[in-house]
Amino acid sequence: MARPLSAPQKRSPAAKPAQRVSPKKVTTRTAKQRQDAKKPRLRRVTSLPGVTTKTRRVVVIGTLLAGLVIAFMLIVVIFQTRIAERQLGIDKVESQISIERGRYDALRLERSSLRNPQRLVAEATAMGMVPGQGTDFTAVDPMTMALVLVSTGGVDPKILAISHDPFENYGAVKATVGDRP
Amino acid sequence: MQSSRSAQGRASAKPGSKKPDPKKPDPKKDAKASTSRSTSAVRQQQSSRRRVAEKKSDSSSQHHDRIWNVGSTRRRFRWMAGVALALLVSLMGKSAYIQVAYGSGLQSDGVAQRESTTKIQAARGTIFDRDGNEMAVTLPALSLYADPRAVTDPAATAHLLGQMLGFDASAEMELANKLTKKTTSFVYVQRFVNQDVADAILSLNLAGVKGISEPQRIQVAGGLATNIIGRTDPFGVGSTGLELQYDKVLSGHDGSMVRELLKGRSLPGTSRIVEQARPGTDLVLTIDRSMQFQTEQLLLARVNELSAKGGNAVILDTKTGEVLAIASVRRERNGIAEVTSANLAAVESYEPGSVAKVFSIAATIDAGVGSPERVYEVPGVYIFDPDTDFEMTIYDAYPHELEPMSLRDIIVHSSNIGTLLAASEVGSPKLRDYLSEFGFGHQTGLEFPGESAGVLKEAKNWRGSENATVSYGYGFSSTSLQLAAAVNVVANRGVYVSPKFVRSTIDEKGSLWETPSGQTHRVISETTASTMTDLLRGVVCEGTGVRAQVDGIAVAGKTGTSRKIQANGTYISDSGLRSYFATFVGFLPAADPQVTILVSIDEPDPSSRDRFGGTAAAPAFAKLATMAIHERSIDPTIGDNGCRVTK
Repeated sequence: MARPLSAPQKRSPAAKPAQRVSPKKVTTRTAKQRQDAKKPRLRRVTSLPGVTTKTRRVVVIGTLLAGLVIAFMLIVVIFQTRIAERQLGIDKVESQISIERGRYDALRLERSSLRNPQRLVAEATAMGMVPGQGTDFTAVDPMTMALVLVSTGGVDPKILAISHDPFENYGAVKATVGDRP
Repeated sequence: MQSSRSAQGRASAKPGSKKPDPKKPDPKKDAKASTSRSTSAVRQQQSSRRRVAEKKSDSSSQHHDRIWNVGSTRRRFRWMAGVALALLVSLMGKSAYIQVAYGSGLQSDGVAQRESTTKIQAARGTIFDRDGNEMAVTLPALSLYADPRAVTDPAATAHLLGQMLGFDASAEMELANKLTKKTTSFVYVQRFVNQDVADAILSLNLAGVKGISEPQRIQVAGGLATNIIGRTDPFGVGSTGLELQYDKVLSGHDGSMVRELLKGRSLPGTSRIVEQARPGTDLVLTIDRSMQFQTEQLLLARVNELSAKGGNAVILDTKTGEVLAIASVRRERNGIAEVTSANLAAVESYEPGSVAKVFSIAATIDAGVGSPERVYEVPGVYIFDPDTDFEMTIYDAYPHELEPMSLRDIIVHSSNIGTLLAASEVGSPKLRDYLSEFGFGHQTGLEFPGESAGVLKEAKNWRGSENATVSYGYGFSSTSLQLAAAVNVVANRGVYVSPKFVRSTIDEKGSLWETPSGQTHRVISETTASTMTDLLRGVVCEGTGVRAQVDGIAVAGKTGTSRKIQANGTYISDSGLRSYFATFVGFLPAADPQVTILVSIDEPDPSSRDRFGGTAAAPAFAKLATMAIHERSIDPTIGDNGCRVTK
């Protein structure tokens, strides 16, 4: 950008007019002078005409902003891609839930069909069973009952206390996946 | 460095700025010197041309300035910026106008172009029996449809599909006609096809024939209890029974899903649920599936045994009014008796006949005008309102002379005349009030679709003999369910409890909620109920209902045999025949009732002895009572030996 301009020229000894050249003198230079002579000459460099500090700042800020915008867009693209990936995953899981729920319902239907009284009666009849035709209420002798209890060790009250709620599992499944599509 | 050197070079090239060394020969200077004469002329020409060009340029610039008068570069830039700004503002204005005026329309058009909204159908609630057995469930099933526009050969396609789906010729023809209509893009081939058959058809890849998954309502156990569960239409909307009554509850709330489309196909990963579907509420019925099945089978068998037209059976939980089983059988036109899908026990009403004596006698006792031991002089024939237009001869069920009968005897032997004599002391208005309290003349509170309220006129509207006949069951009508609920008042210590079909519900969160218990109100005092129970035990043990006895457990109940009104408006048809409605209603164990059971047989063979409540219905009652004892684990109370007298 900056271009060296012609600085005020110092006339080098070689550029002096010929008429002023005097017989060559022997000059002695110190080591420092010799060292300085080897160093490149430094020149004052100024900016191009019209390119001010303000312009430069605008350019820098603009570049930074452009970079930021590009970076932001890249991030957005990455996020969108990730979201799409996750959405695909969610779709897959929801589809799986739907399939599994269908299977759960089908199994419920199958279980219920197996417990269908009509089927049970048919199966039982095929096995030679007949439904009870009457009732016979028999009073059990307390002594006999006591003897049986002693011989069997009784029944664990914990077993007797177990009550099966037929809707417990169903309710839990419904609460979990009931509102899935 | 390089640029500084060139600058140096340029500086040295300026005339007079650098004097050449006279001692050193300069070849460039020598060359210039040799060509100086020729180049100076060229330079002069060039400079003159440049001046001419500059003059031209100046004149053009001046001309341009004259036209636009835009001044300096900065000024021109401002002009340009102003114009751009004006354009931008006008663009924004137009944009804002479009946004305000047409925004919503355009937005929806845009959305419609790139998005597709689909309904997420809420899963319809399941119907369970009281033990958690599924009675009606909804499962996805495959339906076959065709796009006639894509079908290349309608006739051949229809023939092939008809062969695979078992269509007859007319159905095949109908399908072929549908497939030829190119104006529509969707035609059902068959709904809810067997999975294997559907797979076989779809594997053929017939042009335009496709499959679609749809929810199908399935009634488990071959349509058990269809009379109360009801049905849904092919689109899953309740059309009868509880499916209709609880349709909104069972249906849930549909949701919606949006998918983005590209060339008509949905883009993967772009679907989003706008509104989540809320599944329907499940119903837990009061019905016991096993009891329901046995009730249906026993009733069907009894109807067939008696060659009857039909029959109803109801089993109630005495204390809660929960309907444990309810069945109706009807002989179809083809002569075969079948379990009906209509809930005739709640829909059809008939005159209850002698069962109504329970209410008349209970009213007499409860009103304090009679007691079981009070004796009435009962004639064998009674002429009501003699020598008037309303004169009517009333007979007892069996012929007898004037006979002193206690209230116990009257109900045990089902005396019409004795009952009307006893009830006449209560008075028609009061008797009517009692009947209303027992639940006659209004619906039970089930709100079941099509439920009948029966007929019970105001006492002031009773005409002539109705003032006598109502007391023994003619002149008003009731459904089987009403009658069972009314007798249940006696079983439930004098308190009416309305029947119910739904025990609890399971909401979308899977929580179980008990339904409110049936409406209750006291009808008769507990003492009256206890007295009536004792009288009704007598009916079973020594009266008209002996065939309702169950070994080892006390049963209380009442028989009823009503004559049905014929087409000519009388109780005797033109051909001189009568038809009957035989009923038995009872409960057990009598001392602590658990179940109340009604059996009614519609039109048993009128020439048979088994045409009465005690002979047609009571034996079926006994079988149902035995079944209920097994199913409900009912034990007799201490000291209860049924009708056996303890020695």
